[in-house]
Amino acid sequence: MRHLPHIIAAVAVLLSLTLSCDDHTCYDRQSSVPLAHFNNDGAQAELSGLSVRGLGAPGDSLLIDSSDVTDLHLPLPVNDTVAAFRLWCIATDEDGNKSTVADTLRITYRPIAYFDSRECGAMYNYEIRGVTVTHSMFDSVGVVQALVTNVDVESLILYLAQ
Amino acid sequence: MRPMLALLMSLMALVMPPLTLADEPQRRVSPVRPETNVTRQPGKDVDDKVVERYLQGDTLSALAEARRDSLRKIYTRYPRLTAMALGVNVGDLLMAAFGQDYTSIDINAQLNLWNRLQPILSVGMGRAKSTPDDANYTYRGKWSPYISLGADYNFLFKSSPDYNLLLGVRAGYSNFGYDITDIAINNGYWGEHPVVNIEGERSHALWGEIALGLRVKLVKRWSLGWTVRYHWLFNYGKNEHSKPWYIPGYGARGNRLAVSLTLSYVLPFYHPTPPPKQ
Repeated sequence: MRHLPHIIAAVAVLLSLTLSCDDHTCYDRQSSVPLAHFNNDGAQAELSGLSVRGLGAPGDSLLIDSSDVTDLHLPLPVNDTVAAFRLWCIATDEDGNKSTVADTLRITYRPIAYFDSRECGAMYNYEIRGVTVTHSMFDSVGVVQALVTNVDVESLILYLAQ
Repeated sequence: MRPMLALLMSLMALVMPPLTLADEPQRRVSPVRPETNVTRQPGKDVDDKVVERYLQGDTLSALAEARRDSLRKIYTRYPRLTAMALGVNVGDLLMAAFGQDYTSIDINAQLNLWNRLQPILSVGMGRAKSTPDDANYTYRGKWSPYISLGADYNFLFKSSPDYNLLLGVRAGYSNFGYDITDIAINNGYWGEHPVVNIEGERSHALWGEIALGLRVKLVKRWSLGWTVRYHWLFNYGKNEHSKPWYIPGYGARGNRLAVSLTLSYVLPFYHPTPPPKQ
Protein backbone atom coordinates (compact mmCIF):
# COMPACT_ATOMS: atom_id res chain seq x y z
CA MET A 1 0.00 0.00 0.00
CA ARG A 2 2.95 2.29 0.73
CA HIS A 3 4.12 2.03 -2.87
CA LEU A 4 0.66 2.38 -4.38
CA PRO A 5 1.02 6.13 -5.15
CA HIS A 6 4.31 5.47 -6.94
CA ILE A 7 2.83 2.62 -8.93
CA ILE A 8 -0.15 4.65 -10.00
CA ALA A 9 2.13 7.57 -10.88
CA ALA A 10 4.20 5.31 -13.11
CA VAL A 11 1.06 3.99 -14.79
CA ALA A 12 -0.15 7.56 -15.34
CA VAL A 13 3.14 8.48 -17.03
CA LEU A 14 2.95 5.40 -19.25
CA LEU A 15 -0.61 6.22 -20.16
CA SER A 16 0.41 9.76 -21.00
CA LEU A 17 2.97 8.44 -23.45
CA THR A 18 0.49 6.08 -25.07
CA LEU A 19 -2.07 8.83 -25.42
CA SER A 20 0.23 10.61 -27.82
CA CYS A 21 0.09 7.64 -30.18
CA ASP A 22 -2.93 8.68 -32.26
CA ASP A 23 -4.23 6.84 -35.29
CA HIS A 24 -3.26 9.15 -38.18
CA THR A 25 -4.97 7.09 -40.87
CA CYS A 26 -7.50 8.72 -43.21
CA TYR A 27 -10.13 6.06 -43.84
CA ASP A 28 -11.91 8.13 -46.51
CA ARG A 29 -10.43 9.99 -49.47
CA GLN A 30 -8.28 13.09 -49.22
CA SER A 31 -10.25 14.81 -51.97
CA SER A 32 -13.88 14.94 -53.09
CA VAL A 33 -14.65 13.56 -56.56
CA PRO A 34 -18.14 12.78 -57.91
CA LEU A 35 -18.66 9.11 -58.72
CA ALA A 36 -20.99 8.14 -61.58
CA HIS A 37 -22.40 4.65 -62.25
CA PHE A 38 -23.96 3.35 -65.46
CA ASN A 39 -27.39 1.80 -65.36
CA ASN A 40 -29.11 -0.30 -67.98
CA ASP A 41 -32.70 -1.36 -67.39
CA GLY A 42 -32.44 -1.20 -63.64
CA ALA A 43 -29.10 -2.97 -63.27
CA GLN A 44 -25.56 -1.68 -63.09
CA ALA A 45 -24.03 -1.76 -66.57
CA GLU A 46 -20.59 -1.77 -68.12
CA LEU A 47 -19.57 0.34 -71.06
CA SER A 48 -16.93 -1.16 -73.32
CA GLY A 49 -14.24 0.89 -74.96
CA LEU A 50 -15.26 4.11 -73.21
CA SER A 51 -13.10 7.22 -73.33
CA VAL A 52 -13.69 10.34 -71.21
CA ARG A 53 -12.07 13.76 -71.11
CA GLY A 54 -12.88 17.05 -69.44
CA LEU A 55 -13.69 19.86 -71.84
CA GLY A 56 -11.15 22.60 -71.21
CA ALA A 57 -8.69 20.41 -69.26
CA PRO A 58 -5.06 21.32 -69.92
CA GLY A 59 -3.70 19.37 -72.86
CA ASP A 60 -7.10 17.70 -73.42
CA SER A 61 -5.87 14.92 -71.16
CA LEU A 62 -8.01 11.82 -70.89
CA LEU A 63 -9.63 10.60 -67.70
CA ILE A 64 -10.35 7.19 -69.27
CA ASP A 65 -8.88 5.82 -72.51
CA SER A 66 -10.84 3.09 -74.32
CA SER A 67 -11.54 1.04 -71.24
CA ASP A 68 -14.36 -1.18 -70.06
CA VAL A 69 -15.84 0.56 -67.06
CA THR A 70 -18.87 0.26 -64.79
CA ASP A 71 -18.31 3.59 -63.07
CA LEU A 72 -16.13 6.67 -63.36
CA HIS A 73 -14.79 9.47 -61.20
CA LEU A 74 -15.30 12.99 -62.59
CA PRO A 75 -13.00 15.58 -60.94
CA LEU A 76 -14.44 19.08 -60.93
CA PRO A 77 -12.55 22.38 -61.22
CA VAL A 78 -12.47 24.41 -57.98
CA ASN A 79 -12.30 27.78 -59.77
CA ASP A 80 -15.49 27.31 -61.76
CA THR A 81 -19.14 26.38 -61.30
CA VAL A 82 -19.76 24.43 -64.53
CA ALA A 83 -17.81 21.44 -65.79
CA ALA A 84 -18.35 19.50 -69.04
CA PHE A 85 -17.12 16.03 -69.94
CA ARG A 86 -17.04 14.30 -73.31
CA LEU A 87 -17.81 10.58 -73.24
CA TRP A 88 -17.46 8.48 -76.38
CA CYS A 89 -17.25 4.92 -77.58
CA ILE A 90 -16.18 3.54 -80.92
CA ALA A 91 -18.89 1.24 -82.25
CA THR A 92 -18.43 -1.35 -85.01
CA ASP A 93 -21.41 -2.25 -87.17
CA GLU A 94 -22.15 -5.56 -88.95
CA ASP A 95 -20.13 -4.52 -91.98
CA GLY A 96 -17.14 -3.71 -89.84
CA ASN A 97 -17.56 0.02 -90.19
CA LYS A 98 -16.52 1.95 -87.15
CA SER A 99 -18.32 4.98 -85.89
CA THR A 100 -17.95 7.17 -82.85
CA VAL A 101 -20.88 7.55 -80.49
CA ALA A 102 -20.38 10.49 -78.15
CA ASP A 103 -22.25 12.43 -75.48
CA THR A 104 -21.56 15.51 -73.37
CA LEU A 105 -22.23 15.50 -69.63
CA ARG A 106 -22.55 18.94 -68.05
CA ILE A 107 -22.49 19.45 -64.28
CA THR A 108 -23.43 22.69 -62.53
CA TYR A 109 -22.17 22.93 -58.95
CA ARG A 110 -20.96 25.07 -56.07
CA PRO A 111 -17.44 24.41 -54.75
CA ILE A 112 -17.09 24.52 -50.93
CA ALA A 113 -13.71 24.65 -49.22
CA TYR A 114 -13.87 22.10 -46.39
CA PHE A 115 -11.71 20.83 -43.53
CA ASP A 116 -12.64 17.24 -42.71
CA SER A 117 -10.20 16.04 -40.08
CA ARG A 118 -6.56 16.08 -39.06
CA GLU A 119 -6.01 12.78 -40.89
CA CYS A 120 -7.86 13.49 -44.15
CA GLY A 121 -7.00 17.18 -44.27
CA ALA A 122 -8.68 19.96 -46.22
CA MET A 123 -10.26 19.75 -49.67
CA TYR A 124 -13.11 21.09 -51.77
CA ASN A 125 -16.59 19.60 -51.50
CA TYR A 126 -19.14 20.18 -54.26
CA GLU A 127 -22.84 20.84 -54.11
CA ILE A 128 -24.32 19.60 -57.41
CA ARG A 129 -27.03 21.97 -58.55
CA GLY A 130 -27.84 20.54 -61.96
CA VAL A 131 -26.82 17.83 -64.45
CA THR A 132 -27.60 17.39 -68.14
CA VAL A 133 -26.48 14.85 -70.74
CA THR A 134 -26.94 14.54 -74.48
CA HIS A 135 -28.71 11.45 -75.79
CA SER A 136 -26.55 9.39 -78.13
CA MET A 137 -25.52 6.76 -75.59
CA PHE A 138 -27.51 7.91 -72.61
CA ASP A 139 -31.17 8.32 -71.98
CA SER A 140 -30.88 10.52 -68.91
CA VAL A 141 -28.80 11.28 -65.81
CA GLY A 142 -29.89 11.38 -62.19
CA VAL A 143 -28.38 12.88 -59.03
CA VAL A 144 -28.14 10.38 -56.17
CA GLN A 145 -26.18 12.50 -53.70
CA ALA A 146 -26.09 16.25 -54.32
CA LEU A 147 -23.32 16.99 -51.78
CA VAL A 148 -20.09 15.42 -52.93
CA THR A 149 -17.67 14.80 -50.04
CA ASN A 150 -14.54 12.75 -49.51
CA VAL A 151 -16.66 9.70 -48.73
CA ASP A 152 -16.60 7.62 -51.91
CA VAL A 153 -20.28 7.07 -52.59
CA GLU A 154 -22.33 7.24 -55.76
CA SER A 155 -23.29 10.79 -56.78
CA LEU A 156 -24.69 10.36 -60.33
CA ILE A 157 -26.40 7.61 -62.36
CA LEU A 158 -26.15 7.60 -66.15
CA TYR A 159 -29.00 5.64 -67.70
CA LEU A 160 -28.10 4.00 -70.98
CA ALA A 161 -30.36 4.49 -73.95
CA GLN A 162 -32.24 1.35 -75.03
CA MET B 1 -76.60 -57.48 20.74
CA ARG B 2 -73.93 -56.98 23.43
CA PRO B 3 -71.47 -59.43 21.94
CA MET B 4 -71.89 -57.80 18.56
CA LEU B 5 -71.31 -54.35 20.04
CA ALA B 6 -68.20 -55.59 21.80
CA LEU B 7 -66.95 -57.13 18.58
CA LEU B 8 -67.58 -53.85 16.75
CA MET B 9 -65.77 -51.88 19.40
CA SER B 10 -62.80 -54.25 19.13
CA LEU B 11 -62.65 -53.89 15.40
CA MET B 12 -62.78 -50.11 15.77
CA ALA B 13 -59.95 -50.20 18.28
CA LEU B 14 -57.83 -52.07 15.78
CA VAL B 15 -58.59 -49.72 12.87
CA MET B 16 -58.94 -46.27 14.47
CA PRO B 17 -55.65 -45.76 16.38
CA PRO B 18 -53.43 -45.21 13.21
CA LEU B 19 -55.95 -42.74 11.79
CA THR B 20 -56.23 -40.93 15.14
CA LEU B 21 -52.46 -40.61 15.60
CA ALA B 22 -52.04 -39.12 12.15
CA ASP B 23 -54.40 -36.24 12.93
CA GLU B 24 -52.66 -35.15 16.14
CA PRO B 25 -49.73 -32.63 15.85
CA GLN B 26 -46.37 -34.23 16.44
CA ARG B 27 -44.38 -32.75 19.25
CA ARG B 28 -40.78 -32.09 18.32
CA VAL B 29 -38.20 -32.03 20.97
CA SER B 30 -34.94 -30.14 20.44
CA PRO B 31 -32.48 -31.01 23.13
CA VAL B 32 -30.27 -28.10 24.32
CA ARG B 33 -26.62 -28.87 24.15
CA PRO B 34 -25.06 -27.67 27.34
CA GLU B 35 -21.97 -26.13 25.63
CA THR B 36 -24.12 -23.70 23.55
CA ASN B 37 -26.02 -22.40 26.51
CA VAL B 38 -23.64 -19.59 27.39
CA THR B 39 -24.35 -16.04 28.42
CA ARG B 40 -23.22 -13.35 25.92
CA GLN B 41 -20.97 -10.76 27.45
CA PRO B 42 -20.88 -7.22 26.11
CA GLY B 43 -17.59 -5.86 24.68
CA LYS B 44 -15.24 -4.00 26.96
CA ASP B 45 -15.93 -0.59 25.47
CA VAL B 46 -19.66 -0.89 25.02
CA ASP B 47 -21.60 1.89 26.67
CA ASP B 48 -23.61 0.83 29.75
CA LYS B 49 -26.69 2.49 28.32
CA VAL B 50 -26.42 0.33 25.22
CA VAL B 51 -26.12 -2.79 27.39
CA GLU B 52 -29.14 -1.75 29.42
CA ARG B 53 -31.16 -1.22 26.26
CA TYR B 54 -30.13 -4.67 25.05
CA LEU B 55 -31.23 -6.29 28.30
CA GLN B 56 -34.56 -4.50 28.11
CA GLY B 57 -35.23 -6.20 24.79
CA ASP B 58 -34.26 -3.56 22.22
CA THR B 59 -31.60 -5.92 20.95
CA LEU B 60 -31.38 -4.92 17.25
CA SER B 61 -30.81 -1.20 17.73
CA ALA B 62 -28.48 -1.83 20.67
CA LEU B 63 -26.33 -4.17 18.59
CA ALA B 64 -26.28 -1.66 15.68
CA GLU B 65 -25.21 1.16 17.98
CA ALA B 66 -22.54 -0.99 19.58
CA ARG B 67 -21.15 -1.78 16.12
CA ARG B 68 -21.15 1.89 15.11
CA ASP B 69 -19.32 2.77 18.32
CA SER B 70 -16.69 0.12 17.63
CA LEU B 71 -16.18 1.33 14.03
CA ARG B 72 -15.73 4.90 15.22
CA LYS B 73 -12.86 3.73 17.28
CA ILE B 74 -11.26 2.05 14.19
CA TYR B 75 -11.26 5.04 11.79
CA THR B 76 -12.16 8.69 12.02
CA ARG B 77 -15.49 9.96 10.78
CA TYR B 78 -14.95 13.22 8.99
CA PRO B 79 -17.37 16.14 8.98
CA ARG B 80 -19.21 17.37 5.96
CA LEU B 81 -16.66 20.10 5.19
CA THR B 82 -13.40 18.26 5.57
CA ALA B 83 -11.17 20.27 3.22
CA MET B 84 -10.98 22.20 -0.04
CA ALA B 85 -8.31 21.83 -2.70
CA LEU B 86 -7.46 24.64 -5.09
CA GLY B 87 -5.44 23.34 -7.99
CA VAL B 88 -3.87 24.07 -11.34
CA ASN B 89 -3.96 21.41 -14.06
CA VAL B 90 -0.73 21.52 -16.04
CA GLY B 91 -1.09 18.16 -17.78
CA ASP B 92 -1.56 19.56 -21.29
CA LEU B 93 1.20 22.15 -20.73
CA LEU B 94 3.55 19.29 -19.94
CA MET B 95 2.39 17.23 -22.95
CA ALA B 96 2.86 20.26 -25.23
CA ALA B 97 6.46 20.40 -24.10
CA PHE B 98 6.78 16.84 -25.39
CA GLY B 99 5.35 17.66 -28.82
CA GLN B 100 1.57 17.69 -28.43
CA ASP B 101 -0.01 20.16 -30.85
CA TYR B 102 -2.40 21.68 -28.37
CA THR B 103 -2.22 22.96 -24.83
CA SER B 104 -4.50 24.09 -22.06
CA ILE B 105 -4.44 25.16 -18.44
CA ASP B 106 -7.24 25.19 -15.93
CA ILE B 107 -7.80 26.02 -12.30
CA ASN B 108 -10.07 23.84 -10.23
CA ALA B 109 -11.69 23.87 -6.84
CA GLN B 110 -12.60 20.60 -5.17
CA LEU B 111 -14.52 20.26 -1.91
CA ASN B 112 -13.92 17.28 0.33
CA LEU B 113 -17.19 16.23 1.98
CA TRP B 114 -16.96 13.59 4.72
CA ASN B 115 -13.66 12.56 3.12
CA ARG B 116 -15.84 10.66 0.60
CA LEU B 117 -17.72 12.78 -1.88
CA GLN B 118 -15.69 15.47 -3.64
CA PRO B 119 -17.45 17.79 -6.09
CA ILE B 120 -15.12 19.61 -8.46
CA LEU B 121 -15.36 22.66 -10.71
CA SER B 122 -12.74 23.40 -13.37
CA VAL B 123 -12.39 26.46 -15.56
CA GLY B 124 -9.67 26.78 -18.15
CA MET B 125 -8.42 27.94 -21.51
CA GLY B 126 -6.99 25.95 -24.41
CA ARG B 127 -5.50 26.51 -27.85
CA ALA B 128 -3.99 24.52 -30.69
CA LYS B 129 -1.66 24.97 -33.61
CA SER B 130 -0.91 22.06 -35.89
CA THR B 131 0.72 21.65 -39.28
CA PRO B 132 0.93 17.88 -39.74
CA ASP B 133 3.92 16.67 -41.71
CA ASP B 134 1.95 14.93 -44.45
CA ALA B 135 -0.94 17.37 -44.60
CA ASN B 136 -1.85 20.42 -46.67
CA TYR B 137 -3.03 22.87 -43.99
CA THR B 138 -2.36 24.61 -40.68
CA TYR B 139 -4.99 24.29 -37.95
CA ARG B 140 -5.08 27.19 -35.52
CA GLY B 141 -7.37 26.83 -32.53
CA LYS B 142 -7.80 30.17 -30.77
CA TRP B 143 -7.47 30.57 -27.02
CA SER B 144 -10.95 29.57 -25.90
CA PRO B 145 -12.55 28.84 -22.53
CA TYR B 146 -14.00 25.65 -21.18
CA ILE B 147 -15.75 24.59 -18.01
CA SER B 148 -16.14 21.23 -16.35
CA LEU B 149 -18.31 20.19 -13.40
CA GLY B 150 -18.43 16.86 -11.65
CA ALA B 151 -17.88 14.83 -8.52
CA ASP B 152 -15.45 12.16 -7.34
CA TYR B 153 -15.74 9.43 -4.75
CA ASN B 154 -12.75 8.81 -2.48
CA PHE B 155 -12.17 5.10 -1.87
CA LEU B 156 -9.62 5.89 0.83
CA PHE B 157 -12.22 7.53 3.06
CA LYS B 158 -10.98 5.62 6.11
CA SER B 159 -7.51 7.04 5.66
CA SER B 160 -6.12 10.51 6.06
CA PRO B 161 -7.53 13.12 3.67
CA ASP B 162 -3.95 13.66 2.56
CA TYR B 163 -4.25 10.61 0.26
CA ASN B 164 -7.21 10.16 -2.05
CA LEU B 165 -8.05 7.45 -4.61
CA LEU B 166 -10.80 9.00 -6.67
CA LEU B 167 -13.31 7.78 -9.22
CA GLY B 168 -15.74 10.28 -10.61
CA VAL B 169 -17.83 11.67 -13.42
CA ARG B 170 -17.80 15.04 -15.07
CA ALA B 171 -19.53 17.04 -17.77
CA GLY B 172 -17.69 19.66 -19.80
CA TYR B 173 -18.57 22.42 -22.24
CA SER B 174 -16.62 24.73 -24.50
CA ASN B 175 -17.41 27.40 -27.04
CA PHE B 176 -14.42 28.05 -29.25
CA GLY B 177 -13.05 29.50 -32.46
CA TYR B 178 -10.51 28.26 -35.00
CA ASP B 179 -9.01 28.88 -38.44
CA ILE B 180 -7.61 26.53 -41.04
CA THR B 181 -5.06 28.36 -43.15
CA ASP B 182 -2.54 27.76 -45.93
CA ILE B 183 -4.69 25.01 -47.45
CA ALA B 184 -2.86 23.85 -50.55
CA ILE B 185 -5.29 22.27 -53.01
CA ASN B 186 -3.87 19.98 -55.71
CA ASN B 187 -6.37 19.59 -58.54
CA GLY B 188 -3.86 18.21 -61.02
CA TYR B 189 -6.28 17.15 -63.78
CA TRP B 190 -7.56 20.70 -64.23
CA GLY B 191 -4.15 22.24 -63.54
CA GLU B 192 -5.34 24.07 -60.41
CA HIS B 193 -3.18 24.60 -57.31
CA PRO B 194 -4.91 27.29 -55.26
CA VAL B 195 -4.04 28.12 -51.65
CA VAL B 196 -7.11 28.96 -49.59
CA ASN B 197 -8.02 29.80 -45.99
CA ILE B 198 -11.05 28.89 -43.89
CA GLU B 199 -11.22 31.58 -41.23
CA GLY B 200 -13.53 32.71 -38.48
CA GLU B 201 -14.98 29.27 -37.77
CA ARG B 202 -16.79 28.79 -34.48
CA SER B 203 -18.12 25.72 -32.76
CA HIS B 204 -19.14 24.33 -29.40
CA ALA B 205 -18.96 20.95 -27.72
CA LEU B 206 -20.56 19.15 -24.78
CA TRP B 207 -18.92 16.05 -23.39
CA GLY B 208 -18.95 13.57 -20.51
CA GLU B 209 -16.04 12.02 -18.62
CA ILE B 210 -15.24 9.20 -16.24
CA ALA B 211 -12.13 10.05 -14.24
CA LEU B 212 -9.84 7.84 -12.19
CA GLY B 213 -7.27 9.67 -10.12
CA LEU B 214 -4.94 9.79 -7.22
CA ARG B 215 -3.97 12.75 -5.05
CA VAL B 216 -1.07 12.53 -2.61
CA LYS B 217 0.36 15.01 -0.16
CA LEU B 218 3.77 16.36 -1.15
CA VAL B 219 4.72 18.73 1.63
CA LYS B 220 2.71 20.71 4.17
CA ARG B 221 -0.52 21.68 2.35
CA TRP B 222 0.68 21.01 -1.18
CA SER B 223 -0.58 17.93 -3.05
CA LEU B 224 -0.11 16.47 -6.48
CA GLY B 225 -2.85 14.66 -8.38
CA TRP B 226 -2.91 12.44 -11.46
CA THR B 227 -6.14 11.74 -13.28
CA VAL B 228 -6.87 9.57 -16.31
CA ARG B 229 -10.07 10.64 -18.02
CA TYR B 230 -12.13 8.58 -20.45
CA HIS B 231 -14.41 10.96 -22.32
CA TRP B 232 -16.92 11.07 -25.13
CA LEU B 233 -18.74 13.81 -27.01
CA PHE B 234 -22.48 14.24 -26.56
CA ASN B 235 -22.58 16.71 -29.42
CA TYR B 236 -20.48 19.32 -31.16
CA GLY B 237 -21.14 21.99 -33.76
CA LYS B 238 -20.42 21.21 -37.40
CA ASN B 239 -20.05 23.97 -39.99
CA GLU B 240 -20.46 24.09 -43.73
CA HIS B 241 -16.72 24.55 -44.15
CA SER B 242 -15.30 22.42 -41.35
CA LYS B 243 -15.54 20.13 -38.39
CA PRO B 244 -13.38 21.11 -35.41
CA TRP B 245 -10.30 19.03 -34.73
CA TYR B 246 -9.35 20.45 -31.32
CA ILE B 247 -11.85 21.06 -28.51
CA PRO B 248 -10.52 23.06 -25.50
CA GLY B 249 -10.78 21.02 -22.31
CA TYR B 250 -11.40 17.83 -24.29
CA GLY B 251 -8.45 17.51 -26.63
CA ALA B 252 -8.42 16.15 -30.16
CA ARG B 253 -11.91 15.23 -31.29
CA GLY B 254 -11.00 11.62 -32.06
CA ASN B 255 -9.20 10.93 -28.76
CA ARG B 256 -10.99 9.05 -26.00
CA LEU B 257 -8.39 9.39 -23.24
CA ALA B 258 -6.77 12.37 -21.55
CA VAL B 259 -4.49 12.83 -18.57
CA SER B 260 -4.46 15.61 -15.99
CA LEU B 261 -1.66 16.56 -13.65
CA THR B 262 -2.87 18.90 -10.93
CA LEU B 263 -0.87 20.75 -8.31
CA SER B 264 -3.19 21.61 -5.43
CA TYR B 265 -3.13 23.66 -2.28
CA VAL B 266 -5.36 22.00 0.30
CA LEU B 267 -7.22 24.04 2.89
CA PRO B 268 -8.23 21.72 5.75
CA PHE B 269 -11.44 22.61 7.58
CA TYR B 270 -11.16 19.84 10.12
CA HIS B 271 -8.34 18.57 12.27
CA PRO B 272 -9.37 15.17 13.62
CA THR B 273 -8.42 13.82 17.04
CA PRO B 274 -6.54 10.56 16.50
CA PRO B 275 -8.58 7.53 17.64
CA PRO B 276 -7.58 6.06 20.99
CA LYS B 277 -5.15 3.18 20.79
CA GLN B 278 -6.69 -0.21 21.49
